[in-house]
Amino acid sequence: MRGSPRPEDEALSSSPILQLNGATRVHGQGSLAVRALGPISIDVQPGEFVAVMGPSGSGKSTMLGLSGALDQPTEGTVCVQGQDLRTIGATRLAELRRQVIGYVFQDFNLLPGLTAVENVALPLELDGVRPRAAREEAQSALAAVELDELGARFPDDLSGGERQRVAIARAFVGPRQLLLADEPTGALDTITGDLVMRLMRKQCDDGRTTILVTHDASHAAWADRILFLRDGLLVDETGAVPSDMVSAS
Amino acid sequence: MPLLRVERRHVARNLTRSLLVVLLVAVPTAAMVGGSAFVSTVRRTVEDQRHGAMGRATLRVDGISAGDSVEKARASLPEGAVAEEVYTGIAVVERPGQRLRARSFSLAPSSLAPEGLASTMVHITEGRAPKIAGEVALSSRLLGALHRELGEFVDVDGEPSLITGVATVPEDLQLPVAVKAPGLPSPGAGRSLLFNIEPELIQPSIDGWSQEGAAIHRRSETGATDGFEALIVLVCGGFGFFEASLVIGAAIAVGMRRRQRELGLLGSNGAPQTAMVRALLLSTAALAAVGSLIGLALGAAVAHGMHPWLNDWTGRDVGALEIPFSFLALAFSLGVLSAVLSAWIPARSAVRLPIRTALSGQRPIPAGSRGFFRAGLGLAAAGSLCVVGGALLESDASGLFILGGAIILVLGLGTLSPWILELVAGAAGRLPVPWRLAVRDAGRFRARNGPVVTAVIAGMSISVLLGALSASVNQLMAARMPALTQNELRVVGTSAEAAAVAMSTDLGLEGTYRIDKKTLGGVERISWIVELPSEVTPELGEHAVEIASAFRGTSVTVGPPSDGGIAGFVRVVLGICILTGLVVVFVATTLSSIESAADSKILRTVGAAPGVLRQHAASRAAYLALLGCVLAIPAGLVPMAGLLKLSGASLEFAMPWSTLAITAIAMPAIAYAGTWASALVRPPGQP
Repeated sequence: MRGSPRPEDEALSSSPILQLNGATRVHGQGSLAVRALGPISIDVQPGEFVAVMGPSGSGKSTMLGLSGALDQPTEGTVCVQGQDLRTIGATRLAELRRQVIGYVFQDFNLLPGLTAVENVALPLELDGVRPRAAREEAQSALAAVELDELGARFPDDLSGGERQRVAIARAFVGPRQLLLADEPTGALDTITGDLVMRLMRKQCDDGRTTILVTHDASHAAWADRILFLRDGLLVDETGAVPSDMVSAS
Repeated sequence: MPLLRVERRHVARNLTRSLLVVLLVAVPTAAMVGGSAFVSTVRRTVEDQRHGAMGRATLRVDGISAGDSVEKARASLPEGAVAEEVYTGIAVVERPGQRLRARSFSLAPSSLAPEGLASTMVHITEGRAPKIAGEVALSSRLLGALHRELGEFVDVDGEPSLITGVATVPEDLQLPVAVKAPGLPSPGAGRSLLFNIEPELIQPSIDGWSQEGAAIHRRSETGATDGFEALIVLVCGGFGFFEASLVIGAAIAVGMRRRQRELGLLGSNGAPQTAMVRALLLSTAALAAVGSLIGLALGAAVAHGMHPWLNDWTGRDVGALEIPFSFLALAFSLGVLSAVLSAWIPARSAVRLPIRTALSGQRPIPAGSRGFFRAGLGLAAAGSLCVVGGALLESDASGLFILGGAIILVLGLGTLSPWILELVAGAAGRLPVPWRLAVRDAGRFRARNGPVVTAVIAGMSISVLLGALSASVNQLMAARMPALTQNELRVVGTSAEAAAVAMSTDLGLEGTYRIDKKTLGGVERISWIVELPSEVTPELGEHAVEIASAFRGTSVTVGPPSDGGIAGFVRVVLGICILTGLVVVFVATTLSSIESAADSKILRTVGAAPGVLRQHAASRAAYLALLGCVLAIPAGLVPMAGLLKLSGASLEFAMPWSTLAITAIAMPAIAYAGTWASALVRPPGQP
C-alpha cells in the first residue's frame, strides 16, 4: 500500500512543493509573547506523504496553518510551489487555496448549508468552473472516496466517517496538489480512521502531496517521512516506518 | 445568586451584544417620549382653539348691526364686565409696484394689551399698536414681502399709513396681518364684540342679538378634542416596540446559541431550569431598564432640542415644551416588558436543550416548519377575511375590523415566513454559491430569521399601504383637476373667485380668470383658473400663495393638483420604514455573521476570494430584506383596498408602482450594498 517514491517524484525533488525557511510564529508581544513555532525549516517534495507528530502545544497545527496560508509567520518564509506566501495578496492567496492547497480538519468543516456534492464542488465553483461541470467532477471525487451515492445528502445526515471522506474529496478535487490534514481521524473510530488514512495514502500514490498532523503513531506510519516537533522546534525526523512495526504497535 | 453572577459577567464580557439590546430598547423609548412631547406641545388644545377664535373672551358675538353700538352694549353690562369691539376683514396693502392682501383687524390698543380680551387672537410683538388713522401694524412676513420696516409708510386700503408695530396671530404665524387703528375697518370687514362675562348674565341681550341674525360663540362651546394624538403616539410607539422586540428576540436567540455549552455546564452542575430562565430574564430586564432610562433621557433631550424650531415647523406659537409624564412611565414599562417577553422563548428553549446536546455544542435539529405553515396560513386567511368583512359590512366597526385584519395579516405572513424560508432553501440548488449559502442558511436558521422577516413586513407594509393611498388620491385629483399649463394657477376654496380676481390684477401681469367645473360622483367641483400671459415663476407662485392666504379657506395650486400633503407624508413614512427595515436587516445580518463565522472561515479555507465572502454576507441581508419586502406588498395592499372600498366610490384603488419598486427592488438593493460595504471594513471569515 505504502509505495516507494516514483520516478517523476524524484525528478521534481529539486523543486519542493512546500518550503519553510526559518519560519517562526510568535503570538502576543513583549513580556506576553509566546513562541508557538520555530524557527523551523522543512522542504516537502511533490508526491510526498509527511506526518507531523508531537505533544500538545508543540506547534503542529501552527505549522500546518502557516503552510496553508491560514496564518503568516512573524519571521522566516513559507513558500508554496516556489511562491513566498507573504508577498502575495489576499486574492492570489484565495486562488492558491482553490487550486493548490486542500485542507482536512478533525471537525470536518463542511458547510452545513450545502449537500455533500455541493461541498466538494465548492472550490471548483468558486474557481469559475460551470456548476454542472463542477458537480460532475465533484461526483467523481465522491466516487473516489466511495460516497457517490450520498452526494445529495447534507452533512448533518452523514456519519462522522462519511463527513471526513467528503472533506477529503473536497480537499483533492480539481487540480489541487497539496493536502494539509489536521488530526483528520481524531473524531473517528479505528476502522473509519484506517479507511481515511488509506484514502490519503492513495492520493499520494497518485502524485499528490500530503502533510498529516496526528497524535497517532499507527496513522503516522502511513507516511513517507515523520517529523517530530517539541516546543515549536523540529527535534527529530525519520523515514517510513516498516508496516510490520505499525501492525505491532 | 451564582447564576446571576454568571449573567452579570456574561453581560460585561459580551459588551457589544449587551449594548445592542440597550440600544434596541432605547431607540423606541426615545421615539415614544420625544413623539409624545412633540405631539403634546404642538397639538391645538381646546384652549388654543378658543384663544385663536375669541382671544380671552367668554363670549363673542359676530354680525351685530351697526346701530347697536358698543357703548350701548357696555351700558347693559354689570359692573366689572368688559366689551371690546373687533373688526376683521381683508386689507389691501400696497407699495409702488406691489399689492398684497392681508387679514385685517381694527381694534382698540387696550384690546391688544396683555390684559385685553383680543390679546391672544392677535398681538403686537414689536413697536406699538396703531392708535389713530394713518397708522398700521403689519406682520413680519408682510413686512418682509413689502421690504418695509417700522417707521416707514405703506398704503393700506388706499390710505398712506405709518408702520408702528409688528403684529402676530399666535395660532398662524405665517398669516399676513394688518392691524389698523380702532374704528377704521377695511371695506367689508365683519364686526364682533368680545365679552368677559358669563353669557347667562346677559341672556336677554344675547337673545336679542340672535334674533337680529348675529352669531353667538360661547367659550365653553368652542373647540373640541378627540384624543387622536395620544392614539397616534401609542400606535407608533407600540409599533416601534414590536419591531424592537422581534430583533431583540433574534439577538438573544443568537446569544443563547453561543452560550449553549455554558448553559449545558450549568445544567450538568445542577442548576434548575427555572432558575436559569429567571436569571436570563433578569439580566435582559436589567439591560432593558438601562436602555429605557437612556431612551427617556434621549427622548426628552431631543424634544427639548427641537422645541425652538417647533414654531417655524407648525406655523403656530406652540408655547412651552410639554412632556407628558404618564407617557414616560408607559414607555419605560413597555421597553422593559417587550425585551423580557422577547427573551422568554429563546431563553426557555436554550435551557430545555438536553444537557448532552448542549455540551456537545451541536446545533439541535430544527423542528419542521409545517406548524408555521398551518398557523401562518390560518392567521393570514383570518386577517384577509377581517379586512374583506370590514370593507363589506360598512358599519361603525368596519375600520376596526380592517385595522385588526391588517395586523393579523402581518402576523400571519410573518408566521408563514419560516416555512417559506425552508421551501426556498430546498430550491436553491441552482443559485450561485454566495446566494445558495445565504438562502440555505436562512432556511436552517428559520426560527430566528422568521421574526426578522416579520419585522421587515411590519415596517414596509405601512409604506405600501400609504403608497397605495397616495396613488389613489393622485388618481382622483388628476381625474378631478387636470394638470395646469405652465401659465395657469388654480384657486379653490370658499373665496376662490375673489382670490382669482385679486390674482389676475395683483400679480403685476394682465391675467384672465375663468371658472372650471368638474362633476365627479354626482358632486360638482368648482375651481377658478387664473391664466397669466407668461409662465408662472416660483416668485409669482409664492406671491399668489400670499394673496390666497389672505382669503379664509382658500388656496392656490401651481402645477399639478395638490394631494393635501399626502405624497410628502408618504415619502417621510417610506423613509422611516426603509430606515427601520434596514436597521432590522443589518442587525439580523450582523447576528447571522456572528453565528456563521465558522462557515465564513470554511469558505476562506477552500479558496473563496474576499469578494465572494462579501457577496455571501450581502446576499444574506438582501435575501431577508427581499422576502420581508415581497410579503409586505400584500400586507399593505389588502388593507388599503379594504379601506378604499369603505371610503365609497369616490376614491378608487390605484397600484402604487413607485412605492412597490422601492419596496421590492430598492430596499433589498440598499441592504445588499450596505452589507457589502460594511464587509469591506470588516471582512467576514478573517481569523
